[in-house]
Amino acid sequence: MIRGQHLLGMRGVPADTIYGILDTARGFKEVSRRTIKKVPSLRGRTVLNVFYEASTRTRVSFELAGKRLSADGVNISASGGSTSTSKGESLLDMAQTLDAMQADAVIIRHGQSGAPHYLADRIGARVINAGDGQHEHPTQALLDLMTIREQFEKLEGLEVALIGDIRHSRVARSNLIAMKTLGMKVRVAGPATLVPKELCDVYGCERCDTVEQAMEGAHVVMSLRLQRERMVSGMLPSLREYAVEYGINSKLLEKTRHEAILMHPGPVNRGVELAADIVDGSRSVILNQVENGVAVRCAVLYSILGGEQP
Amino acid sequence: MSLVVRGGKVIDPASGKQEVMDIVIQDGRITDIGPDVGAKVEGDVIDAQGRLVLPGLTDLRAHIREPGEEYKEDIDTASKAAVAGGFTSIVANASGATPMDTPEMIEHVVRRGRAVGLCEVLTAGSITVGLKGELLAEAASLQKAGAVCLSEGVRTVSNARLMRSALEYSCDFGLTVMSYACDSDLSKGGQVSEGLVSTQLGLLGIPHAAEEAVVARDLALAELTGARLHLTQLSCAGSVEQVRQAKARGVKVSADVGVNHLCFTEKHVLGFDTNLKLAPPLRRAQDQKALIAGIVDGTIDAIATGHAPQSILEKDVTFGRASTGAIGLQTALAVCFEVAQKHQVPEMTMVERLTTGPASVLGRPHAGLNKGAQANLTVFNPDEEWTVKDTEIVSKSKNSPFLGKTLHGLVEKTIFDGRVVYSS
Repeated sequence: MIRGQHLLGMRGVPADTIYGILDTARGFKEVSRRTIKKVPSLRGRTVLNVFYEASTRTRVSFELAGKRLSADGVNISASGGSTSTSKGESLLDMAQTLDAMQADAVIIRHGQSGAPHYLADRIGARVINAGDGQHEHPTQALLDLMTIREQFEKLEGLEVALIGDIRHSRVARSNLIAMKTLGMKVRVAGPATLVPKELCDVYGCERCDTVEQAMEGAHVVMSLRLQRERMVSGMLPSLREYAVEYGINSKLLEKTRHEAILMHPGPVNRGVELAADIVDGSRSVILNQVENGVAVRCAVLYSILGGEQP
Repeated sequence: MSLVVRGGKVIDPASGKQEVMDIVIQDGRITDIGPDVGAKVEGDVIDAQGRLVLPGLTDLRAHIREPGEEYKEDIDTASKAAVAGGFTSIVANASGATPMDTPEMIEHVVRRGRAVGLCEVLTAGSITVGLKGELLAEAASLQKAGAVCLSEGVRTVSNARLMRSALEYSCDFGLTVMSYACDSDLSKGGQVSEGLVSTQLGLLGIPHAAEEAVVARDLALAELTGARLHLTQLSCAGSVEQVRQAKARGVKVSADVGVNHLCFTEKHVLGFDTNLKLAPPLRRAQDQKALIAGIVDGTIDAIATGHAPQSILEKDVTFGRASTGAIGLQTALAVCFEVAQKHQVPEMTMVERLTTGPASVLGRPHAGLNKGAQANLTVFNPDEEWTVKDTEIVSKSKNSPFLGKTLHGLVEKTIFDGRVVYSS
C-alpha cells in the first residue's frame, strides 16, 4: 500500500501508479547506461538505508539508486550484531534516532512482517519497504513487472507460472498483488508445505497440481528461492527430491510459449530451483531483473521525494 | 446505615428476576429486594432509573502479574480494573513469571487481594510445577491455601499422561482443571490464526487443529477419568462442536470464550495492531459465529476477559516480536452488551455467562440478587457512550484493543460486600 507517500507494499497501489513508476523507471534505466550516471533530482535530500537483514543486491541497488539521484545516502546495517541492535536498541529507538536525523526517506529491510508499517507510524520521513519478513517486497515486484514489460509491453492478460516456496516469499506476495491489479493471470505450483492452502482465495491465482501444468503455455516463469532459513523443520524431505519434483529444467521450459522468459529474484540455488544450464540460458532475464532493480528504485525514490521543496 | 439501589432493571440469572426493582443493602447483605421496597428506607440512595442492576460479575481468567511482573499489573491495579468493569470476583491465573505452584504464592495473592479489599481475588493453582509440564504441583496443598481451580495459564500440558494424572488426581479434591488447548508443536512460532490473514501478512499461522486436537484429547481424558474439565478461551468452531457433543454424552466439561474473540476476527489483525495479538489468536468470522451460538445454546458456560496486561515494552514493537494478550476487565461488560445487541443474544443469557456461569465452573454457588445474599452488584448504564482513552484505563498497562474506540454502555457503580467500591 502507498500510505501518504510511503511505499509499504503493493496492496492498494492502483494500476496507474504502477505504470507511472514503470514509465519513470524506463527513463532512469537510460540514465544508468550513460557514462555519467547521475542526475540532480534529489540533491540535498537525505536517504537512509536501514537493513536489519543481510542483503547484498537489494541494499546495493537502493544505494546506487540514491547516488544516481544525487541524494545523500547513509547505510545502516543493523544485522550481524555489529551495530546498535546488538546493544539492545529497539526498532522504536531506531525510529526516534532516524527522526532526529531529519531523514527524508528511510528504506528498511527487516525480518519482521509489518516493520515498515511500524516505522511509518512513528517517523516523519517517507518509508520504503525493502522487504519485511515474509510479507512484502514491493520494489522487487515493480522491477519484475518492468522486466516483463520489456519483453511483452502489454501486461494485461499475460500468463505467469509462479513456482516454488511461496509460503515464505515476500517477493511472491507483492507480485501476486501487483499482477492481479494489472490483470495478469498467475498459476502457482510447489510442494503443499510451501504453498498456503488459502493462497488462491487471498490473491485470486490458480493452484496447479504439478509444475508442468503451471508452466503450460505461460508467458513468464517465475521461480522462487527456497527460503530454508525461514522454514520450520520437516517441510521438505530433501533438496534432492525438491530438485527432482519441483525444479525447473530445459525440458519443462519447452512447455511454455516460445517467447516466454525465465525469472528468479536471486540468489539462485543452482541445480535446485533451476537447472544450472537454464540460469544463464537464452530465456533467462535474471540479470535484466538486477539491472532494472536500480532503475525502479530510482523511480520510486523520485516519485516519493522528487518535486518537493527541501 | 442502609444503602438503597432504586428503580433499576434487575437482571439476575440466579433467581430469574428481570424487572424494575429496589435493592436494600445493610451490613454487606441484601436485606430486601422488590418493586418499591426501598421507598421508605432511610439511607444512601443510588438512583438506578434507566440502568441495569446486575449481580457482581465473575472473571475466570485474569492475569494479574503479581508476584513477578508488577511493572505490568499488580493486585491493587487489577482489583481497580475489575471493579471499574463491574467484576466483584476475579480468578488470578498463572502467567510465565508467576507460576502459582506453591501454597505461599497462593496465600500471597489471597492475602493481598483481601488487603486491597475492592473485590474477591481468587486464584487458580498451577497444574504443574513451574508450568513446566513435567511434575504435578501439589493440588491439595494449593487448594488448602486458597486455590479454587487448577490452570496452566496460557500453556498446554502437552504430556497426555500427565494431563490424565492431573484430571484423575483433581477428582479427589473436587477441583476443576482448566485446559488452555493449543498443541505446542503445531503452533510453534505462530503469530496469528493460520488462514487468509497469515497468508496475506506472511506471518506464521496457528492452525485450528492446534486447538481442536487438544480439545479432543482432553475431552477423551475427561471421559476416561470422570474429572471436571474446563476448556478455557476456545476460539474455533470445531472446538465448540466437540464440547457440545461431549456435554450431550454426559462428560463433565465446561467451557469459556474470551471477550475479544466475540467482537474481533482475524481480519482486524491486518493493520498489525499488536493489541490484537492474542492467545489464542483471533479466528474467522464463522468461528466467531459458532462461539456466539455456543453462548446462546449453553455449550459455552462462561465469558472470560483473559485480561493480560503487557507493558509498552512488550507491545510497542513489531507484530512478530510483540507478546500476546490484551487487557479487558474494564471494557468487558460494555463489549458483551454490544455483542448481545448485534447478535440478538438475550440479555439474561449474556449476564448469566458473566455471573452464575463462571461461578458454577468453579463449583461455587452464586447467590445472585436475593434476600440474605452478599451484596455484590453492578449498576450499568447501557445508553452511556464513552471513548476508551489510555488516561481512563485504570490498569497499569494500557494494551487495550479498544483504545480510541467508542463503547456503548458504562459501569456506573460497583458494590462489593455492601460497599460502593467504584463510581464512574
